[in-house]
Amino acid sequence: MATVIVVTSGKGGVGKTTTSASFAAGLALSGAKTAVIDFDVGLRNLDLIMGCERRVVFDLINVIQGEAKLRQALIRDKRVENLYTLAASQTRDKDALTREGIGAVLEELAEEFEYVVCDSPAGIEKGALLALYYADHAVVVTNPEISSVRDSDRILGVLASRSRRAEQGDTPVKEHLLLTRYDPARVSTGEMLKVGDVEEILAIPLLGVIPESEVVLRCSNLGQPVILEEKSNAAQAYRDAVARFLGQEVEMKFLEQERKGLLRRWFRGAA
Amino acid sequence: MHVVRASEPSPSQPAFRLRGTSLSLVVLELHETAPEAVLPSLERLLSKAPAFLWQAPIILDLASNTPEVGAPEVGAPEVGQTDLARLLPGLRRLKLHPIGVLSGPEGWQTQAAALGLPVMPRGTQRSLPLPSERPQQNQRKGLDLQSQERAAANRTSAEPLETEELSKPTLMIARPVRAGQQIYADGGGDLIVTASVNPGAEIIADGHIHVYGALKGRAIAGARGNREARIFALRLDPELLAIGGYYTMHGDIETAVIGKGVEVSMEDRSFKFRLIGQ
Ligand SMILES: Nc1ncnc2c1ncn2[C@@H]1O[C@H](COP(=O)(O)OP(=O)(O)O)[C@@H](O)[C@H]1O
Ligand SMILES: [Mg+2]
Repeated sequence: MATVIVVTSGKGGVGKTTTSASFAAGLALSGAKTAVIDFDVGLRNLDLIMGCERRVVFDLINVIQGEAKLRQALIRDKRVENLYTLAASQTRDKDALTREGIGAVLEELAEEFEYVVCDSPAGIEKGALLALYYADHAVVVTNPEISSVRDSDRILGVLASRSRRAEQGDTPVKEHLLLTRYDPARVSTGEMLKVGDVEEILAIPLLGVIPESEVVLRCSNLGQPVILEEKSNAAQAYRDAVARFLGQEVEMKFLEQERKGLLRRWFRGAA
Repeated sequence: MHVVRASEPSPSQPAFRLRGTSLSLVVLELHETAPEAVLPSLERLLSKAPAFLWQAPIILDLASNTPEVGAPEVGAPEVGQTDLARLLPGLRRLKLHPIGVLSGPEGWQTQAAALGLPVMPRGTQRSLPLPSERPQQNQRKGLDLQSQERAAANRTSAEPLETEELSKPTLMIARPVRAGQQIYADGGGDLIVTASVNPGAEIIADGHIHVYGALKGRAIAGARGNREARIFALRLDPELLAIGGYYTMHGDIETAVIGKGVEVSMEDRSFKFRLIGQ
């Protein structure tokens, strides 16, 4: 049986798609066959971040409606072995997503894949509910600011009541906090919440802290998951988060403001 | 009032048991019966303290100073059938559940009965005997639930009443109460949360509220009007507090108690904050 991981947040623009792409790539790099599915019908952009937007022939809705076979819709990654993307439809109606349809797709994926990563749309409406329904794990992507924390809190409540595991009285969805766009400089001035503050409110285990980094934007323009960028702090933080997810103990990095010495200023590498 | 309730079936026991119990309920005393006169002000009252009486069962009573009451011989009172019939949906829309009326003028009782609302005798603070599983008592005490006099006559001083205090189950919550979640300990019970109540969450109890964590959301104790109810929190930092229908907002709470271990109570219609666990 495949492990289903939903990447969710409630709030939009916090880094769910960025995280889905890097997390899926990280799992695939560990040797596990992994599929990443875009649930954001109408606003699809996972395929852009994965750099496969020109190779989308069939999408999730085609598969659900029986217009294409799953095999035809899965797009194999050109850089990372074991990594496949299932795109969302840009043109179809959201209502084409059904719980049964998604259940059938996940069941079929489970025959071949070890991990299925579901990139959730924002909000707590239908699309987000469907993305989290079958989850075994939830990576709750949160930015260090009040409104994002509040929305994450809400989505945690939804996970605890509206997921399949909750409805069937199964063991609950395993929750992981991923704090992204963390900027220690703005935390120290009090503009942003500290890691501890967010942990205290959400009260779930911390999977990782991804620093704010301009490399993220550069990578999405290149159509490449940031985790593949060797020298970036954000990539390192994503690699560490995946390692922790797989059970390794890795200490948290990039929580403190980097002291920029003279040398560092001259030889400033990737942030 | 009296309720008869079947207990959980279990293989070794009979499928049900009849028990007497006494509940305290809210009575809506009507000084007027026209929905147009009653509903708008009631709605205003409820909107001030949204959880006050939320989903509460209520009993309707015609105020004793209403001329018709106590003078039934004058003829059927002017409680128009339409008034009571029109009032009920309005009350339900306000999330109140009328479950009966107190006895009153004949017309009032007839209207209530026609609407399926039981008429309850007045002044029945003490419990009436109910059929119990013990056969001798059944015979001795009779089964008449209608008449208080008859029941009272059946009582002897040597024979203790089979009354049962309202059981007040405490609701225990061991996980954080999150934004958008609402938890209600009804049935007169207390609510204990052994985690935090986050901003945007709402906890409600008919009895007391205890939060062994940070209370950052809304807490409503004594939701059915009990002003003796209290709120305890290890770290008090709430959006709103309410006791027995009175409420206060974060900005009105003395800053000295914010973030501290606090007991909140109601005295003379004002909130009292006392530091605890110092
Ligand atoms: N760690 C980061 N540092 C800098 N920018 C980031 C980071 N993570 C995400 N972003 C940017 O934030 C925006 C929203 O990211 P995205 O992953 O699309 O969020 P979502 O899927 O939650 O809407 C994008 O412009 C992305 O480049
Ligand atoms: Mg997205």
